[in-house]
Amino acid sequence: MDNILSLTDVKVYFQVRKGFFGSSDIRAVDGVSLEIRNGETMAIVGESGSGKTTLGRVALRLLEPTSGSIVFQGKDISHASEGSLGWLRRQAQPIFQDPYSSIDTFMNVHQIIEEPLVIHKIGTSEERRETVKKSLRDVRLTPEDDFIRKYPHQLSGGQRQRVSMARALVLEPKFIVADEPVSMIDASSRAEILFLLKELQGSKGISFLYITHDIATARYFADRIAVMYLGRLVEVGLPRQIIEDPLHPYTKALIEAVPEADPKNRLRERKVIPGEPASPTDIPSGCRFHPRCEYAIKGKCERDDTYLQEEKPDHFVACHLY
Amino acid sequence: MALFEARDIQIHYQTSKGIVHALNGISFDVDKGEAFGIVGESGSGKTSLALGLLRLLPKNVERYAGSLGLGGEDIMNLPENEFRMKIRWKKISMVFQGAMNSLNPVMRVGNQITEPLREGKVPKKDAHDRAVRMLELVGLSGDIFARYPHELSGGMKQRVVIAMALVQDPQLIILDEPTSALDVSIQAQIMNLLKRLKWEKKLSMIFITHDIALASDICDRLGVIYAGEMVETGSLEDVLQRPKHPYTQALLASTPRLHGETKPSFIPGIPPSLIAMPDGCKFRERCPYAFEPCDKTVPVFATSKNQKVQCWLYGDIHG
Repeated sequence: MDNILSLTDVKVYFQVRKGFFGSSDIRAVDGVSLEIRNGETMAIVGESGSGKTTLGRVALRLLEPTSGSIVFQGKDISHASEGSLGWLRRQAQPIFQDPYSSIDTFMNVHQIIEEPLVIHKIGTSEERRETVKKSLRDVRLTPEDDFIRKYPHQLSGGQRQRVSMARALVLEPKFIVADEPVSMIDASSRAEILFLLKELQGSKGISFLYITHDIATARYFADRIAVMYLGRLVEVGLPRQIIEDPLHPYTKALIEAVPEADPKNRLRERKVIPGEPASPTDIPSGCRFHPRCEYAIKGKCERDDTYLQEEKPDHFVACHLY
Repeated sequence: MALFEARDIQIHYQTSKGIVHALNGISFDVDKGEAFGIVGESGSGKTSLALGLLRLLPKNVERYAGSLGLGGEDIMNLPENEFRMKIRWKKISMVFQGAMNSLNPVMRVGNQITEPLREGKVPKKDAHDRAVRMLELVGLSGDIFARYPHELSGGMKQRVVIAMALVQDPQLIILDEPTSALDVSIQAQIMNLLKRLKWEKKLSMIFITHDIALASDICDRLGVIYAGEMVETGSLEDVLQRPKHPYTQALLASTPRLHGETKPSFIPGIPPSLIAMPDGCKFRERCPYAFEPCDKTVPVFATSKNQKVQCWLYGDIHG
């Protein structure tokens, strides 16, 4: 079995009330097919409203898909009941964006990391203490005997995020969804967290779904990058392909918009995509990027939907230009 | 002479745990039509600086000292009433971090733009026309005037906030993380707008950010602050391409690049507590080059005509 996780045409719609009687669907994830191989890090890059966080949550079955199938380690978990998902809750873990709100401030570091072991009734109190210490060593919070007694307010943002990583690791998961794990951490500590994740991926063989708005960090951490726009994947490929040779007009614009530390940039205007993404309640017809696309083909792009196709080896794009 | 001069700015707060030394002697100039970037990480004091410049500091300020000059006039010692009448929003205005989320949800955006003009007894028609001109200046259509904030997208709200800061024709605008709540593609649109304002309106800017790459997109000169001190100032080229202070070097090395082979590095450790400040260089605990004199107070050394650095490594330049 090569894939730890396969998503096939997954859709997640949320219903919102409109006015007094009507309702409409927010199509947060609108037909995503994606495979994550064993030991692989797949990055999902997208802007706010692209559905990337919803995709991460449905991949962990924290949400039930509206349609489509989710297969984890060969088992179809698309509509499995929560009661039957105990095994998945051990095998798959989340790491959230905000280390200030994702850990309980009234618990000390030991209690925070131990909690999943207690919930899953693993080990005796003594054994759990050793497991907690080991997991602190894994995330380099040493000397672990000092950290174990600390409370979150005594830690920096980077240290807090490492506590939430230790908590995710303590059950020895095979799959981790890391949703913007470094976006609230100072630039000078970001690389430290990302390299730590990468190292854990190597040493423990964990597969990652790395969700981010920051394509530059995805490049260092991910084996493959998928670009998401309004609930769909528009391009999937190796980091080198996506960054040096982007095919989709949206990916091109996204890369052009990233500021680089180059003193010449201040003397020129940046090429930007006009407008802002449409609302996921009102997705444009045809290719959903066509209203903002400078290459849109009249009579085609606003009419025909696009699907991912392999344009070059391992490099997929959903665009009528190809 | 520079349009704006800040000298030895100090801001300390009184808290239940002791005195927080947020800023400890920061000096810089901003010329007309120039964008000066202040780059620092969380807790470095960059937002305190912005609030201090407009006298908007919270009540628990224990010390706010230094000197501020605008167009040759001392504005540090102006009585509060005069500062409010002449300086704040009129000559110096500000775009706050996350300001687009603080628009009044039950007031038409146009009226939020004209509010200060109406306070200043500008006739309604003139104020309206001026607001429409401002909306057009920031790339929106005039009929946005009658809309409410919830009808606008994030990028449009941020443009409205910039229009609000410009409506009284200030000489200097302080931008505190003006794009941090926006997506990269919208961020690029706003940066283009700010560049155009700088080029066409000769607007002077203080651009505050944690993102040195973003600062380099608009700033002519940069100041890098660490633990309340300006550790390095210089032209954009100097700071980006010939950084002198070990902290600046480490910060640049930790910035992920889109292209090229270099991997980002990181700075081990955490910044010192602002309550129990160590003597000497504040960065020395994390500095790979720390040596014997670093526990003594560090003077500012000029390494070239335009580049200044607060680091003992450059101590022999003055003999």
